[in-house]
Order: sequence, then C-alpha cells, then structure tokens
Amino acid sequence: MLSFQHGLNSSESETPLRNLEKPQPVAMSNDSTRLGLRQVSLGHRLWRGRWGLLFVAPFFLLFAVFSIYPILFSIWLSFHEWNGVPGRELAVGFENFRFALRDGLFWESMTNAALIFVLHLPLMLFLSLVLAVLLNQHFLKLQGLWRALIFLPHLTSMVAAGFTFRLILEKDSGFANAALGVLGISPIPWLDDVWWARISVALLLFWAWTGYQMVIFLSALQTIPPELNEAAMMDGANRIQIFWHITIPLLKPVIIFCFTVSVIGTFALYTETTILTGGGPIHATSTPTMEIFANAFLNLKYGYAAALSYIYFLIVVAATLIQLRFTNRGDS
Amino acid sequence: MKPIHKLAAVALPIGLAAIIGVATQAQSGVKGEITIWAWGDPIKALKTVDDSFSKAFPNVTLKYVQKSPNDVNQGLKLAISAGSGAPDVLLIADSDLAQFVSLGGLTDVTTQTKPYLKRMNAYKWNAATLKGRVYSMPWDSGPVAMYYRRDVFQKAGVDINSIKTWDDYLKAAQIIKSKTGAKMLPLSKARNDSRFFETLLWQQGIGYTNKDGAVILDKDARAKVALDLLVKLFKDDLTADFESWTDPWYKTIAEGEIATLPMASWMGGFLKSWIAPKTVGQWGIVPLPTFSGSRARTSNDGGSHLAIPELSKNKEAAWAYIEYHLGRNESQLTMYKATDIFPSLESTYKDPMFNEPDAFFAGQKSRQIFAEAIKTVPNATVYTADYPEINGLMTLELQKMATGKQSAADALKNAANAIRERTRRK
Repeated sequence: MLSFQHGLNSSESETPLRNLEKPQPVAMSNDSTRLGLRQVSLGHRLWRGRWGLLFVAPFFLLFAVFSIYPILFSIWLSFHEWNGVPGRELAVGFENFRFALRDGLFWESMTNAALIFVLHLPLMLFLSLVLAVLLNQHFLKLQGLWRALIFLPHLTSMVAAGFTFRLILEKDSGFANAALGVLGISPIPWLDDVWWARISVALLLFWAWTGYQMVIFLSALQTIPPELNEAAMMDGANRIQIFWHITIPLLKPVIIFCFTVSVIGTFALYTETTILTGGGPIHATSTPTMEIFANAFLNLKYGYAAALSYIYFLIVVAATLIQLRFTNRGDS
Repeated sequence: MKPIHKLAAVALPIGLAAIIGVATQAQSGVKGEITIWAWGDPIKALKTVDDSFSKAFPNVTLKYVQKSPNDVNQGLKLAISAGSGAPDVLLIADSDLAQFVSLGGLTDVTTQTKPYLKRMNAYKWNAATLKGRVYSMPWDSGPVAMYYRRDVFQKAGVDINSIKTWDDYLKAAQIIKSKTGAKMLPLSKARNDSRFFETLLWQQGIGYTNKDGAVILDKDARAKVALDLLVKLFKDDLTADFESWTDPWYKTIAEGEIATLPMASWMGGFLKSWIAPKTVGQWGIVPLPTFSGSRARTSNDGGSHLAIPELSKNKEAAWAYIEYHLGRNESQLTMYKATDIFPSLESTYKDPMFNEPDAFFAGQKSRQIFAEAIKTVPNATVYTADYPEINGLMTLELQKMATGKQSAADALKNAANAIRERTRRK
C-alpha cells in the first residue's frame, strides 16, 4: 500500500512537469515573440481582473504598510542602535546579535515558553481529542449545548480572563485556595512561586484553548466515514481500540496542525502572561514577546529588540520546520 | 504618581477628552487652543484652577485628553518617533521624566523656570535637568512618612513615639505580631517591585548610581543597609506578602491587618478616597524611622512634572498654562486641597491650610507633617534616564533574595553587574 501511494504521488507530480516541458522547444526557437506574448497577456490579464484587484487592493496596501515594511525595516534596524528619535540611528554591525547570544533574560524567556508549552499542550491535545470523540457520538444528547459551553472560554477576551484568573488564584483571598481549603488541601502559592506561576499560565491557556482545539478535532472527525468504524466493530474492535487505531491515525494531520499552531502561539504569548503574572515572579513566566516589548518600548532599545525578534523568528521557524519534517517522515 | 500609574493600567476603560474653554474678548497676546495629556486625578486637580486661568488668559482654550500614565508615556514616545501627534502640555511621572529629557523630545524651559529654581524642592530639578538645561516644571513631590494604625498600636500596647530608628521599628514589629497577629507592613516577596527598597536608598541620600553615572549598589554600604532591613523583615515574618496595588493588598490595609505603611504623601489621599474610606480616625502619621547615622526621617517616592513637547505648536500658551497652574500659590493650594497632590512649590507651605486638623488622621495636622518632612528630603537621584530598566533588573534580584534563592550581598552584586552590562554604566 505504501509503494502504491508513493507511485500515485510521483505520477501526479510528474504529469504537470511533462506538460510544461512540451512547449519548451517551440519557445526556444521563437524567444522574443514568446516574451512579447507573455507581457501582453499579463497586462491583459491584469486589466481583465481590474475590478477584482481593486477590491483586494486595500488589504494588500495595508499589508504592505503594516507588515512588509516593518519586517524589512526591522532587518535594517537590527544592525543599529536606536532610541526612537529620528536621525539618532547608530550603525553597530552585529553587536545586537552578539549581545543577544549572551542575554540570559532572553534565553530564559525562551525556556519559559518551552516549559509553559510542555505544561499545557500534551494534556490539552489529549483532552480536546477525547471531548471531540465523545461529542461526536450519536447517543449523546444536547450536543450543541455541550460544544458551545466548551468552546465559550475561547471567545472570552484574554484581558478579562487574565484578570479573573488572577483573582481566582490569589493565594489568600482567591477562590482556588478557598476551594482547596474545603478539601483540606493547604493553600498553593499559584502566582508567588516560579513553578506554580508557570502552571497557572498553563491552566489559563488550557482553559482558553481546549474548546478551540476540540472544535477543530470535531470537524475533522466528521470527515471520517462511519463505515470505517463499523467495519472495525464487525472485526471485533472495541471503542478504545477504534480510538487508538483508527481515529488517531486518521486525525494525524489535524493533530500536527494543532501542535504546530500551539508551538507558535506559546512562544508568542503576551496578553495572558502580562496580565496574569506580569512575567514574574522572578522572570519565570516572561516570554520572548514580552522581552522584545520591554526592550523596545520600556528600555528604548529598538535596534536590539529588532535583533531579538529576528532571532526569535528564526528559532520558531526552525522549530516548525523540524516538526513538519519529522512528522512527514513518519508518514512515508 | 506611580500608584496611579498602576491603577490606570488595571482600570481598563480609558475615557476621552472633556473640553473646557471660555473665550471672551482679547486681553493678552497669548491665544489659541492647547491640548493637555494627563490621567484621572491630576486632570481633576488641574480643572479646579481653569476658571481663574480663563479669566487671566481669555484667548486660550483648553482641551484635556485623559489617558492612562502608560498611554501618555507611549503616546509621547510614538509622537517623538513619528514627528507629529504630540500634545502641547503633558504630565510626566518623575520616574519616567529623565528618559524623555534624554530623548530630546521636550522643550527647553531653562529661562522660563529660572524664577522657580529656588522656590521648588531642590531635588525635583534632578530628573528635569540635562547638561545644565531644564526641560519641565515640577508639580508635586512625594515626601515619605509613616502611616500607622492607631487601633493596632493601642491593642499591642506599643507607643508609636518610641519608634525612632528602624531597629525600634523591628522591635515594635515583633511585639505587634505576637500581641495582635498583625504584620508590620505589606511587602511582597516574589512579587516585590523594589519601591520600598528605593525609598530606603533615597532616605540615605543615594540612588542606584552616583553623580558620575557609575553603579554604586555593590559599593556603597548604604545600599546594603537598606536591603538588610528588608532581609530582617522577611526573616522574622513581619511582612504581609501581597503584591502592591492589587485587591488583596488594598484589603489587608483597609482591614487593619497591617500596622504601618511607610509611604508618600499621596497615599493619604488614596486611603481616604478609595482604599480605606471607612477607617476614618484610625490612622496616624509620624516621621519615618531613621537608620543609625542618617538624619533624614523622610524620603521621596514618586512625584510628577508638567512639560511641553518639542513638537507643540503653541509653546507660549502652553507655558502660560503651566506657570499659572504650578507657579502660583493659590493654584497649587487649590489643587492640593482637592486631590492631596502635594505641591513642590515651597512658598505654599506657610499657608494656614497646612495647620488644619484632619479628621481622617484623628485630628492630626497631617499636612504639617509632610511640610516638615519635605525640608529634609535628601537630594538624591533614583530616577535616571534608564530607571525603567534598572528598576526591572533590581526587582529580579530582590525577588530572588526575598524567596531565599540568594543573599542580600549577592542580590546587590548581581543587580549591579546586570545594570552595568545592560546600560553600559561603570
């Protein structure tokens, strides 16, 4: 079956190539005409699509001004020292990058993000998957209600949620410790201890994102033909076996998607940590984005912040590529 | 002004402008509209003077834009980078001021402020001055005293007047703790913000750096003395471990679970108006305890200035506004009465208002205590141009120390080295 798939893929990918190759000899003999034709056809195509282009133009204009320009400007900026005053940019070569490599606070923030990721993602992926499978069962009543309730936290503003979690987790007056007290458990320093603070952030993420991932899993589940499960049941598989051997393998691409998006999201954490913990205590929940923000807008080291954001960007891209490569290999 | 800073960051909604303006016939050459950026309480204070300002300058219209301290700060930084979008007058907290002065975004008011150099608290000019030029006008100061709960001291049988030094303070703290269960002061360990440590530095006449800009945290014995007091307070569990400016912190203060608050003059206004309005008559104020060898029984925390951005198009009217509101006794006193924003203008301290008894402090002449205190506030510079970064680095090491991860000496050494590395100071 593997070889069959492989053959199918290669034949698919080769066909368009062959089609492209065919007209080439003709073009070789008549290069100038072909170029001319192309230009005309491009201009013609643009003109034909003028209304469509006009309608999409606002997005691309804004994208250019607010995304492409800052991205390019940041590259230039990362080789300068700048406090934000026009004309006071000072070229410093690779100095910003050199400092970044030995910037303990920045690397600590990368570690913090990784730890927060490990603390919430495995559990969240598993739980959202289980919830999705449960809510996909026909015998369950009020499905819409359960789905909505579980998804609801995701719609809450992170600022409001952050403040609420903070109130709940306060060690002396918070609801969490009061509830634990009833059960006879001594109070937990949720926001006053390095590890508990990371767990608190992880809890907030878990609360906010489980419903979102569940919805994605649900929609993926609904694409699995029921015949597969029925066939498996005919062969004597129980529900747990079906979950592990049919559902999970078929959902693999979606799981990878959720995983990748979560990696990027956790490293980019800002609102949640700023409000819940302020990056503390002792810097334990400070994230790369918070470090970049502080360096730029608090310490007025725009050049250094730009360098940090590029280092951060490269690491996240690398992490994503490694994941994709790793998981693709698993496929073939 | 720092507390308001935090508050406004907590209070989400940001209201927008109220426009006040009276224009009658022309009487003076100063005219036009000026925009003022400030936050809640100070706007309330400034407006109490506007009627009389409008009579003196009928051709000037005022437009207030209320922003959180953070938004005023970021807004000016953006305006400086963009080259437009700045107001004509803005309120800047002392702790942020030097950064703006160093950016060059504020108008040089050296000549205009000359008549006030001797009339304002001398130390107020430190953060406003760069290379002999002055860039803002002082509004309020934050002289520090010790607020205490009369009921808690009475219950513990401790005479507040017996506390002269910080050693006395520690002894009293032990007695109060054993007799009443109350902690001596609220002071967070893992979420400490270094403000109390800075108050203790300033009391001894130093900041993080010396006059030449070199870091002195690990060299000046006074820094160690300051931090050692925190160590002792933490070690014997004499502090209530709540992060400043959070709900549990307000609660512990309002409910008399703490005996003292070594804080600035503005705290009195906060206690009265919203932190503990029901505790009328239960509070008292005494001068700050001293360290052996230092004389000042006070310090400074916070304070603010009004400044004119370089980008302002109506600097003449802007200065007229600032001078009228901050340079006259009547204006400063009106504002002080309305909001407890303590004037930096020294000629106001002779006013009879300072001798009025204050019911909230059980009839004590609270204003007199601060007017006395302000005379001996040491001329130190804690708020340098890189203060936000320095405060952050110190806070990190202080939190490590408070949670038992390192000694006081190591905290000072590590903070000093981190500051040197990141700010390129000596």
